[in-house]
Amino acid sequence: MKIDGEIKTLVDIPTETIEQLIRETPLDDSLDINYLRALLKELSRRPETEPVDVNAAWKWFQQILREEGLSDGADAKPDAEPQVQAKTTPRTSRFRPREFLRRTAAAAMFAVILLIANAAVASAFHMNILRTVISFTDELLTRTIAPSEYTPDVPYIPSGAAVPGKSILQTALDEMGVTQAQAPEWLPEGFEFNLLESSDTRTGETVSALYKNGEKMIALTFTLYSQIPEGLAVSHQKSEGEPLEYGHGGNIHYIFKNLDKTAATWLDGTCDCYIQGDISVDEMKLIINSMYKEN
Amino acid sequence: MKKHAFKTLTLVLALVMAFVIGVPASAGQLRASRELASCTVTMYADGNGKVTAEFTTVAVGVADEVGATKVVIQRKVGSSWVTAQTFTRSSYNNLIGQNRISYSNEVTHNGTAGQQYRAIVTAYAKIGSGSTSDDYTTNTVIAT
Repeated sequence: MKIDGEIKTLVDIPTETIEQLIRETPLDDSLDINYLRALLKELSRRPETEPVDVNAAWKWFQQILREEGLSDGADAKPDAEPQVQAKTTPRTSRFRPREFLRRTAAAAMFAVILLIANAAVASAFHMNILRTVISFTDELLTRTIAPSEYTPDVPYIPSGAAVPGKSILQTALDEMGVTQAQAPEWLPEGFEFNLLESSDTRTGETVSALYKNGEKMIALTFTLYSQIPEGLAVSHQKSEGEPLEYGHGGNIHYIFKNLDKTAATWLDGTCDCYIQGDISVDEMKLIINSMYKEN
Repeated sequence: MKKHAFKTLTLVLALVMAFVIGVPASAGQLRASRELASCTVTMYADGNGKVTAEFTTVAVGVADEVGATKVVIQRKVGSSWVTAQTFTRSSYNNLIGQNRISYSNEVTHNGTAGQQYRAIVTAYAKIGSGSTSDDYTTNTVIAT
């Protein structure tokens, strides 16, 4: 290459001179792509001192693609806007892969730090981000009948109060034809039968019973289907956290919280069962235990 | 200028990411309710082009009102769902029960055989001054 009357190799030419040569390179039909490519490659080889110019990088990338014949005819046409911009930009910038990677890595690190900070803040408010995401996306609890391999971890029917309304609820369940689930034989002390109601649709019949102890309540809801409808979706409102799986009587019972209420749901044959109330998880397990015939 | 634009874009992306992470955390909390306990929905074909959406809503205790405020029957057109019919509590008396723990009912739409349908049920429970509404989508059925 001849500069100021001397023949020099690219490595001997100062960066400013190469930048000037690039600026003066005509971007029209007379463009020597090999010449421009050599200049750009030499620039990219040198230590970076200037910021990345996205337009210049894109133009460089297009030129490389065009040279390598990787793009189709439509994409290979020079983009008019970048050309004008390249000519009028007073300070030539170049695309530097290493600098680009460094900046991308910095952005990724910033995002990770933000994620960790989010998790820390959420933890301070007793929220587990990942767990919340799971509970939010898992809105539907799918009940399946479990094999009889579970043993209860609490004793069956402890000494406690009798259930005044049991015969009423049991009568209703008998009339519905529920042969699997039974009315509970145990409820926490102080709860008394308050209300029984029923409703039905073409696919199932529902009966609900309410027990009260002052302001506290326990409600049991049973829906018996002649056969489980295809696509039946049962959704329960619940607080953060995965449901506790409690096995008893060959079924898995899903116990969870809905704010200050404890709830449990399971499928027993074709009977969908649901209990909710102002009780503890252990009390819920005891109620469940007392609802199985075999015991 | 372009350097600032790049930095601004990075910051915006990071903030968007933070919000995306934060939204499910707060939205997850909204699934719990002091009024609404559960909702069961299903849809089935009745023959002659009819499709029926069925729901059972359970409240947290005895509710002043429990049931559904709206049931929207949707038909699939191409890859989109369009409203075929809307049942509201004001136009259809039997969507809400009063002074009950649970309430069940169904609505039927006269559709077209061979078309795909689904329903979005807006379950509702009101206890005292508090109330909760939540949307539940049924399975998809082909009208026969």
